Amino acid sequence: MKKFICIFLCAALLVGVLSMMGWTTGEIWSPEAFDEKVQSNYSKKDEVVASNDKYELVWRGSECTVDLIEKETGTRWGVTARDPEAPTVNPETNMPIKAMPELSSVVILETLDMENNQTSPIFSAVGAVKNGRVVTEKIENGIRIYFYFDAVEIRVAADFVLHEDRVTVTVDPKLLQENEKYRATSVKIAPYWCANQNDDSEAYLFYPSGSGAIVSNTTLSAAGISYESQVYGSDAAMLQDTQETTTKEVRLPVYGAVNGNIGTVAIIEDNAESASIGAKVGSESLKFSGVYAKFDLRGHSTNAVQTMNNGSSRQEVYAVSPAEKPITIGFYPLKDEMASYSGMAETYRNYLKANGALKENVKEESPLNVTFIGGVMIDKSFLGVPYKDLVAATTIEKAQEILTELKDKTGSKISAKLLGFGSTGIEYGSYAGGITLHKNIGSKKQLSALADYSKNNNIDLYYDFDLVRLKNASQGFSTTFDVAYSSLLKITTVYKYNAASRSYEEETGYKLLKREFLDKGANKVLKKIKGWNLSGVSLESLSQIAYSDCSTETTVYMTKGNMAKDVNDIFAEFKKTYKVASEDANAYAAAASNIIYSTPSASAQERIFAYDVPFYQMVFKGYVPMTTESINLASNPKKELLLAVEAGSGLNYTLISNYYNEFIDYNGYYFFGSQYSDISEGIIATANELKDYYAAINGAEIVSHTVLASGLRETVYSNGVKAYVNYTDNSIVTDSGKTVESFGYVWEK
Amino acid sequence: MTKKVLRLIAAVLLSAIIVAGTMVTAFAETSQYVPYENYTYWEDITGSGRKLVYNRPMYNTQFVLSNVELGIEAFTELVDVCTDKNENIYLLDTGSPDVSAKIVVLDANYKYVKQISKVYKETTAEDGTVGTEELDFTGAYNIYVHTDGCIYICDTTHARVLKCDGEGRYIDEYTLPDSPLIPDDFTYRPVKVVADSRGYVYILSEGSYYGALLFAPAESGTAKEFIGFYGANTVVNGVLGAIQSALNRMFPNNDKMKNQNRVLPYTFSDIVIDSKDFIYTTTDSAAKGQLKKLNPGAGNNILKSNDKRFIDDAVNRTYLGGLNFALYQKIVGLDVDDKEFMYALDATYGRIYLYDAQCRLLTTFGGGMGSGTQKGTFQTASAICVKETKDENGTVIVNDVLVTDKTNNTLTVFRRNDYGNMVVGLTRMTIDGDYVESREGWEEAIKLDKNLQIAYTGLARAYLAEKNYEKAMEVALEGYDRDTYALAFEYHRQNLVSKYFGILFAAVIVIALAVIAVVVFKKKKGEAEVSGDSEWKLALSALIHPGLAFEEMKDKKRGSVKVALVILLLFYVSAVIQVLWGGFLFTKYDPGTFNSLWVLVQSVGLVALWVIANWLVTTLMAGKGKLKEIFVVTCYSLMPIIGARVIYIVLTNFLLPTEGSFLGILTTAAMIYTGLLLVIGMMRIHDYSMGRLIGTSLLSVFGMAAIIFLMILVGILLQQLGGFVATIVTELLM
Repeated sequence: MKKFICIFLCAALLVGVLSMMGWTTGEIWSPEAFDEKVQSNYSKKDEVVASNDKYELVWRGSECTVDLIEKETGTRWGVTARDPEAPTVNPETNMPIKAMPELSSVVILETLDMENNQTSPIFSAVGAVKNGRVVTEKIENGIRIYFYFDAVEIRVAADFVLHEDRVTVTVDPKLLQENEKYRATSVKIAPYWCANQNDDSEAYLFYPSGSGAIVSNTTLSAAGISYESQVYGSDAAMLQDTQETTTKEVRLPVYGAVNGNIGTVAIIEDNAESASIGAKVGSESLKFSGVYAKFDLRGHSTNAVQTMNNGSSRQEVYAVSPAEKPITIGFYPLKDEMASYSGMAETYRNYLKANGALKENVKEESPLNVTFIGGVMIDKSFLGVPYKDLVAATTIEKAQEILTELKDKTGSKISAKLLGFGSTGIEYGSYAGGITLHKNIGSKKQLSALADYSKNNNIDLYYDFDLVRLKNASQGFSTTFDVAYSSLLKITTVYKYNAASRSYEEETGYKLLKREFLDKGANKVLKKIKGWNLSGVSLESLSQIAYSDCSTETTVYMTKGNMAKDVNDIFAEFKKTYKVASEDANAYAAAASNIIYSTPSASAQERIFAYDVPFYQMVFKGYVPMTTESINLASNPKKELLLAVEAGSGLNYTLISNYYNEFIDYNGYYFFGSQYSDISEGIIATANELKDYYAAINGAEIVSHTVLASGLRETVYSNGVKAYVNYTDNSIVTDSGKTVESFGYVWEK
Repeated sequence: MTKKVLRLIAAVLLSAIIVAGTMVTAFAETSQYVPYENYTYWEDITGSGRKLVYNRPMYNTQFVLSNVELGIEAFTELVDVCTDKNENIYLLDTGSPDVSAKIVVLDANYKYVKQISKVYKETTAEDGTVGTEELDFTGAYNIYVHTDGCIYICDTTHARVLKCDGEGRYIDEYTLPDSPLIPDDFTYRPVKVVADSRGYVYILSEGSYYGALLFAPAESGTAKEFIGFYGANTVVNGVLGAIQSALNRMFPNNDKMKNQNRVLPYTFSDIVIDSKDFIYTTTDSAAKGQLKKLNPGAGNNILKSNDKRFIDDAVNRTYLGGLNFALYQKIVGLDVDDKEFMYALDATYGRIYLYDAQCRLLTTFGGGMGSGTQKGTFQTASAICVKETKDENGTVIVNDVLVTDKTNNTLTVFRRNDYGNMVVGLTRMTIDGDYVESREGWEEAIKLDKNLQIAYTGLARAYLAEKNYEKAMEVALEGYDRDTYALAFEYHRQNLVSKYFGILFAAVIVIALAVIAVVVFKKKKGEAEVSGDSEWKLALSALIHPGLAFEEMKDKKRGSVKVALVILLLFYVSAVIQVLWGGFLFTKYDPGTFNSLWVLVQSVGLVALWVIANWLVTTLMAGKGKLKEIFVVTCYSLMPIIGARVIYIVLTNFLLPTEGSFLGILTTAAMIYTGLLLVIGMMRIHDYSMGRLIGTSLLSVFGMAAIIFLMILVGILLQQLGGFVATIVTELLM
């Protein structure tokens, strides 16, 4: 008996220690060893490898690339960027003219030299094709191409599969081969499929930064300008050294190119979380500009290393095991009227519909939307002893008063979000705001009354819960054992950045919940709010933050892996009981939401972007109600209003009922122009002014959006409503004879 | 009179335009989202610190121009930009050994007009043949276009400033003058040039700490003349520095001489001139007083800016790995508009800082910190210029800030938005004293941005001008504006006094009579004796007859620990409430930084430390005082300070800062009195002579330092032990 107890206690202790250390039994895998002896077998001739009613998938043996050919017209889309009018065969030698390696590479691999920790790119056209180190394999409706990069002893396989309306290209990390000396860190797939010749006046590229941006293909310099941004935003678990500027994240996994009446839209279908979308523009030497997707094959993070002279240098540290999920991009050929960013938006919308992410058209959109800020933690003192307490910026009672006034004076359908009403207000603190309502803001009874009032007055009320960030151990989650780790195997702490001191504010640091506990956290919230009488919840952080987690030994959560699925599962769980709101949401969360607050109204303003388009809104309009960014907090409220009209998004205001001078201690933007009493007249007037317009476009899709030569922007809805917005300094007359004043709008049925 | 009326009308009109403009919100810029932070600083209540607050953008990026948009060949290195009186824009490309420098001229609408790549100088050969010499200015760093249309090119590499007309025809040049005023080791590398309305030319030479070279214009019959250096920075030397210098001079050696040479004034990094011929300079290495406005004659700084911290503080950037390195500001450019607003450009941060004529920061915009790729951010911002378009009445309708980037080779145009126009207009009105007219505008501005501290000052001044003193005080308090608060308070107090003079006077008489009555009554009852029968009476009597009181305390053992503790408590509480309840004009209470527990350490802790140290020392030095007696005497001695604090708290709520010198005297007197009581008390209880007392007191102070040192040592050891344990735990868990 004594022995048994002893063994039992030892086992219990071991299990306890192991569970504390966050170990799981998840399997890790390693790629196969590089097979340097494999014999190339590919055909050097052009061959049709798959075909359907409309298209043929053709293997180009001379370059080891693949083209998609429209049977009827012979129109070509493909891996290699080439001038359609340039000869493909040298008339003198009768030999095929090869494109530049970068332009004809199926994959561009980035590899890490394990000896010096340096990364460098290698093109398939040079690293494998030139040496004849290619193996092909017939697969269903397509072809698998193995590229053997002898110089770095790495093999990569790319599957080209013809579907009814697209070609998918898949790179499966499980087919990777590596040796000890080099590691594959990322791969660009068909990087110049979406490319245009420089200075072609009929051509442009589409980049999904923020709302969406059009990239011109003007020749800029010898090397051109390159730009990359991670899909679904920067990995929050990666240590960020600097944030010198603000940015607009890539929320949609879509990019494309248009040249005259031909175009391509690429949709990242699998593992978009690990992708970055890049653009290389205006290179004199390449003569082509293109957008592409790059996928991280390994999780990575930045480490700061002290140098000899007391300085520091940055070093990228990569995970040992590669991610394991296959990566797939669907390339959709576009022609004629579909060859535009409107066509791309429609294609992506159809893709989401086909996958069940978007379902039926929404019945009632809300033209007027507000976000109430609950409170903020302020330094106070009692007899000179300092302490922090929450100062209510908006009490529940006041929120109801404001909603009543707005409802009475506008008669609009309203959506209201309660943000920062928990234990630490809008500051990060306990998990999900302690899943409570701070007593300074109101009582549960008052909240319930507000919820009842909302239900009775056709107001959608959303209460926000932060299911991702936590600063204190709370709700059973430890800030040591239950939080995400970076690939440095350190706890990830995210800090607020101080623009003036150009440094992170140590006291603001918060942690990210361990990825495998996201659903557990969500369930805790679901369980605890049962009696709150809420009809809607807002999952702002979950909808916009994507992050990796290396705290477990599985590779599933590396490179933000599985984020879309995890979030969708949680959204689905919440939607069984509640309406769910998101904010500036990634595509997966946006499609699953009942409303998207603060849809991006601009791109990241990179210099390579010629102008912005409301692509994001074009995808979701009619299916998911949306709002603009906060009009009253915008640098130019009038412009934000015009963007609302242009994109058909509802008006959005961030409001507080009471302002206190102490709020200047809050390092953020919420308070400088949000006091309701200061702006109520403007809100009511604007809502009433646009009431008819919103009624006219309720539930309608955007079928086209055009920037006319005059500078006027035209949005056409599926029900025939047209809206014109004029951002120029002059008034412009529309084709139908209506005058659109400078910085004004008109709409017509 | 006419001038005043006209100014009033103009102010009212401007105010109306501002308010109307805001209500209509007829914005005209084309960019909405800005990829950088906009912020300003909020001077904190202590007046010495400042806190960053985000604010509503006043500028938006209008567009970014490169050679592609201009349709010209690529720039090599775009180093400077300036405008002429017709709003034409001049961009200076410094060139390279392979590519000549050029000046690219754009019109007011930013359309390319022409290039000037050489200055053409007519030459006459010995045989009388007239020819043209092409002067190359590759390596030039700066251009300036005068109101007469002449272009001054700082041809740095060729050590000259070329003056030419708008077509590049040579007019004159400024080389190193042959003058005894020029030091022997002076290297002439002109990097900045301006000229005033009379034709005086100011040239900054790279690395020169003598100030700008000043050339008088050529007049009939005389050539242009170098008249000396103008407006150099001075070396700031404190008392310690002066002592050190004196010592160094008295006992010189080689090392000291070397160090001596290093103490040189900072050099100017830019020089600009306003429409009234005032010279503005920037100094990029100083921590304070980086911007100066020099009068045309003597070159003295007429801005109250010598102690002003401009720009942001040096960045001690911390990597998330815990490593850090410093980045220092580098003010490379400045421009001043007609309203005397200053636009400073910092190349390290890529930010533009907008200051009003009183050196108050309105906003900060731009960014990139050496890696900007977004519109409105920079990699290497190189020059700044303000371009204003005015209507026929001279009102500014467009204010553009032009910034060049010499790495990206771009010209970024920021345009002031309606909110910016409103704030700038209102700020100018407040500076001009048009307070009443600006009130509505300031109210609107605060609605749009509650973080704008300058708006509270403007609004408070407006209420003050309207004689609404209470409201002025309220708003000034919100904006931590002590000056305006003091002004309003003075009037408010005057009003109160005149309104309630009768009552106040009567109250004072009644109180005085009451006090006299109490004193007389007590005298009659014989209670004003040196010592009484209660412990409290003895304590109070120590204030008036300390010798007798402390002697009685020692001899009759009447010192009360209870009373001493109460006094000590009052000492602590009075220290706290002095900060908490003192008048706004005198206290610096900030709930974020003030901690009464720290006051406890400073007051009670100090007393405890003194008592223990003194007891330890006097025990060894044959002192007769016991621990309890030392404690009691020390606490009793604190009463004058407590009393002074109470008076301070009361008076600071009624006095103005100008009347506050009395408070300083009061505090000092109380401290001296306390010291006196302590000396007398210690002498009595220890039975020491004065000399012995001084000796033991000094040793006690030394003992206090030793105790503190030991406490710190133990603290560090505990901290290290804690760290060691934490490391072991972490290692075990990982």
